[in-house]
Amino acid sequence: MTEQTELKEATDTKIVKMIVFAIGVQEYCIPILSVREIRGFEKTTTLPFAPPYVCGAINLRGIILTVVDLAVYLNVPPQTDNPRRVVVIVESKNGVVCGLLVDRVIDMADINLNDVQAVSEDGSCLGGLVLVDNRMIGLLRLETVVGQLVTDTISE
Amino acid sequence: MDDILQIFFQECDEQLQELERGLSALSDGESEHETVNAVFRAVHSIKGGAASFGLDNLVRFAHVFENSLDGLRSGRFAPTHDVVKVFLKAMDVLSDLVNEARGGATVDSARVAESHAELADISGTGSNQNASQAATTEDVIPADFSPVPMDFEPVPADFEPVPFDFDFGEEEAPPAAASLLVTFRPHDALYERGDDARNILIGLADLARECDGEILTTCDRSALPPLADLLPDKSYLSWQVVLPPAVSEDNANAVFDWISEDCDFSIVREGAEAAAPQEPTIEQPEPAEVVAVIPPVEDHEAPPPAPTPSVAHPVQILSPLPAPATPDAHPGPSPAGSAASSTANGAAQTAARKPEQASIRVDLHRIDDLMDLVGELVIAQAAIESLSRRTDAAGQHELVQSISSMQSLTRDIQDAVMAVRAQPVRAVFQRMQRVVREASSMTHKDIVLTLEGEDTEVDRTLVEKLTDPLTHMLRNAVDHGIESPEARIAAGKPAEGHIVLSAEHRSGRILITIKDDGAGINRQRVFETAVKRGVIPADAVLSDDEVNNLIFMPGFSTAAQVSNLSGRGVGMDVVKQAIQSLGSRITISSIPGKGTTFGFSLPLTLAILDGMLISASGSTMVIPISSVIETMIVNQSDVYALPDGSNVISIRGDCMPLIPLATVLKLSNSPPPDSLDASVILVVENESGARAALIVDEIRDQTQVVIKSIESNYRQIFGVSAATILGDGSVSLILDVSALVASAIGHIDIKPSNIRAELAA
Amino acid sequence: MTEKKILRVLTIDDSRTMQGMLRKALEEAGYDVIQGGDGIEGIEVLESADPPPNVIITDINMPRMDGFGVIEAVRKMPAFKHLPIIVLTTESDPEKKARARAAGATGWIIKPFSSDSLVAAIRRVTA
Repeated sequence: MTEQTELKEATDTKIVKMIVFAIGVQEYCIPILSVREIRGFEKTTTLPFAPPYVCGAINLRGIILTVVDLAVYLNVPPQTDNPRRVVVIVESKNGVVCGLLVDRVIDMADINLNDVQAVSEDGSCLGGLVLVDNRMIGLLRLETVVGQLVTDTISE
Repeated sequence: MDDILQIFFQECDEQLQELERGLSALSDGESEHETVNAVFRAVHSIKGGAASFGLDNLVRFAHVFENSLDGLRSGRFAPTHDVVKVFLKAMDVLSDLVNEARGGATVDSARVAESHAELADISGTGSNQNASQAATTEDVIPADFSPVPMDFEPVPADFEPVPFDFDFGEEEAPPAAASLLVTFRPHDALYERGDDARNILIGLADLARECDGEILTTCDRSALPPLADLLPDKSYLSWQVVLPPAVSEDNANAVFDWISEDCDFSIVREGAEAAAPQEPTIEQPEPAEVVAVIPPVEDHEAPPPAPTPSVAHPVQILSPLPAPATPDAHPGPSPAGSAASSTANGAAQTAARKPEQASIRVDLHRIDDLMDLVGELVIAQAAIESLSRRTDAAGQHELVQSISSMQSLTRDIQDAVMAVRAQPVRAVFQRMQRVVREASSMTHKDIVLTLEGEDTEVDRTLVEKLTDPLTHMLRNAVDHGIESPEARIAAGKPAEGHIVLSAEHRSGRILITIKDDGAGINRQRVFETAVKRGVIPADAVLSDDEVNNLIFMPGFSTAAQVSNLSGRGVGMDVVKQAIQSLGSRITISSIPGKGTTFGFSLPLTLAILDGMLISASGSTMVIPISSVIETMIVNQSDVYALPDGSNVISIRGDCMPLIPLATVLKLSNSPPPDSLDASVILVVENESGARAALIVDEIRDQTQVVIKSIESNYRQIFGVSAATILGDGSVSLILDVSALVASAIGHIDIKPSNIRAELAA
Repeated sequence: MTEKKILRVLTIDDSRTMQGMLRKALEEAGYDVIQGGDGIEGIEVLESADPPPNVIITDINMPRMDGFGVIEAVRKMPAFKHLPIIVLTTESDPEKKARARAAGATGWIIKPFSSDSLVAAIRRVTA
């Protein structure tokens, strides 16, 4: 919710450039401004007590960050044999950097926030749905994902 | 100006350190001249800088301080214990005033006044034989320190007119109709001091130009000898200069300000007595003809109208600052001045907002060393490049050699960079003097803190992190360590308590100890208190060391009487945590009646760690070598299974829990094998000496690793303190040995160990 | 005023604040500034300076070698025997001034100084 209002504030026209990617058969998008880079999926270092959706840690030019398997996170069957899987490196508003493992990056889209249909659940990672070229695309709430990554309690 | 103000504050910090060092040397009975000088210089520098920025409070106090120190410097009184005490207190006030100027908290004026009075008192009583000196040390800034009224008004922030300020023309110049006749004859000395008659002539010409006039110059060459006899160093010429009427005598006098003793000169209004005045000086080479001495004050209070030749000139000025120096006796801040003052204030405010200094000063030779190494690195790299193109076997061999020399070079560079970042612990240590001073005055104890090894260097990030734990530990030592003077005397000790804070290098780490000569830890009372607070069960059996360590337990405080000092919010448990976060542990040794010693060691840097690379369940991890006691292969017969499924191992009679690393970290899902025979274990030790054995798959290497935070982009992970990047670019975790040991011990329910576990937590 | 050649000033002071202020004031007035952090360093800078400075401004109270030492040392160097030296001082002591004078100082400036007074002082000895 906050993210959306902030997004609205960020632009007068309420049009936000988003990067669209696929997880399984679903499509999701995040603001392009939060993306730092996109890189191939490489071996990660397993982290103790990590939640199942955390693949592990990687080294991004001296910074250590974790990679989130969005398929697991979103409860979508992952395509492990898909060679087009890439890691989208994102930075949250409070400066936390992490990687999002997605099945493939599709394209960029200008999304009018007025067109976004809210989904009822508050605090969910899904900020809403929007129709682009007859494709239903989910708005991923980056801050929710990152927030969980940083603060989730260890489930021993 | 802002940047210079920043420099000033930085420099104040340095000077205050210098001051502290000097004063503690004095209080240790050293009274060498250079020490006293250094102390004086420190205060003097602060005053000088502060005056430039119009930091009035600071200037005023520094001035009084300086005066008192001058009394010491000139031997008017000796640095007795009491005198040094007053100086130390004044130093604290000065330091707070610097902080105030920086935008910090306002200093209580009563405190300033008190210290002020004490300082004045010292120099006053100490200089009875010299009444005038005593007077100066009262409140008076000598008139020539800066041309500011004597009544201790704030020094205006702008810059006061100074001797050679030529342009106060208009109001000053008496509306004299007659031209001003200046005659002068330089002595040899004038030239010997790098001055020149030409300078005087140009100075006078400038005066004339300011009044849109011209000068009329006549050179008297009558004294010039024939060329053959001419000595180049001698002065033979004299000049007569006619200035326009608008030029005042004062201004003309100012031109001669610096040379009044090296030049015969006269300044006379042309007119009635015009003819007379030249004679005395021009014709006579000797300044013996000095007719009168005019005190400067009179001269500028009321410029004498058309002086008579016999009175006015030549002027032999005896005052430190010749009359024309302050032609305006009551300089108010000029409009430009107040503008300057507001910018200075603005600067002070900006300064306040700026956080800790972001720059460090580095010895040039350290940078040079680094540069040399980098030069070698470039060469080594070129060598490797060319060798890598060769395919023959010899080339391969050389390549390996080159790489290994590159390795040692890298290590050298690392050391050199660390040396650049290194800082002596002095700054922090000296701050502790004040902590002890304040704490002992609050507890009415007489305590001397001695510093040792202040020059020991550590990484600057560490230096900063030392302040808080040291402060608490010293307060604790003052409050609980040292007894009251009465108790000390009763125990046959000197009333004055003694604390030593020292730093030294020891096997690649820095060892810091705090040693007091107090009563030692009252273990009986500590134990009882711990039981009372529910920290330990009443039937706990603890070693002396374990009892000592109870004071670090959260929720523990020697409750009998919590003074307002060490009771201030933080307990020793916080200290322990802080020290632990620096990668160390505190050790305590205490002898009843003799005192207590706290010690902890610090790594030279927080950025690099000597580690052992191990693997467990396919993951490569790093264990800090400092916590590894030994590595060995398990003999199944030494292993005992406990009912809860965990194991303990006996190593030379010492029983400790076995930690299957992969399982504990939930890296492997397969249950641990039935037999641990031939497993590789590492015996590790935590801060309080508790041990455990880690079962790993393999020990791979020993290496230095660069510590990287994992929490900045993730969360804290149990058993992991940080991460690093290995040579192949992959991430490897650095294990948190204390946490692992603590949790392993915690799982095993043996009473004393349970306490150990908590102690280790 | 008519001269356009750039004058070089050597300032000797152990206070970095003072050095900063001197540099700022002098450079704004168009002088070329070289600096030494105490007497010893000041003499070293003087000896190796090319071109040599046209005037020296020195503090009195400094570690290692004080201002008097500087003046005496400079006056002993044949090349700089006649180099103008201005003493920078907050010293109230007339003795100090007499000593500086005896050592061979050309003039003095009282701290705190203004840019104008500083420049005027330099002009006074380098005109």
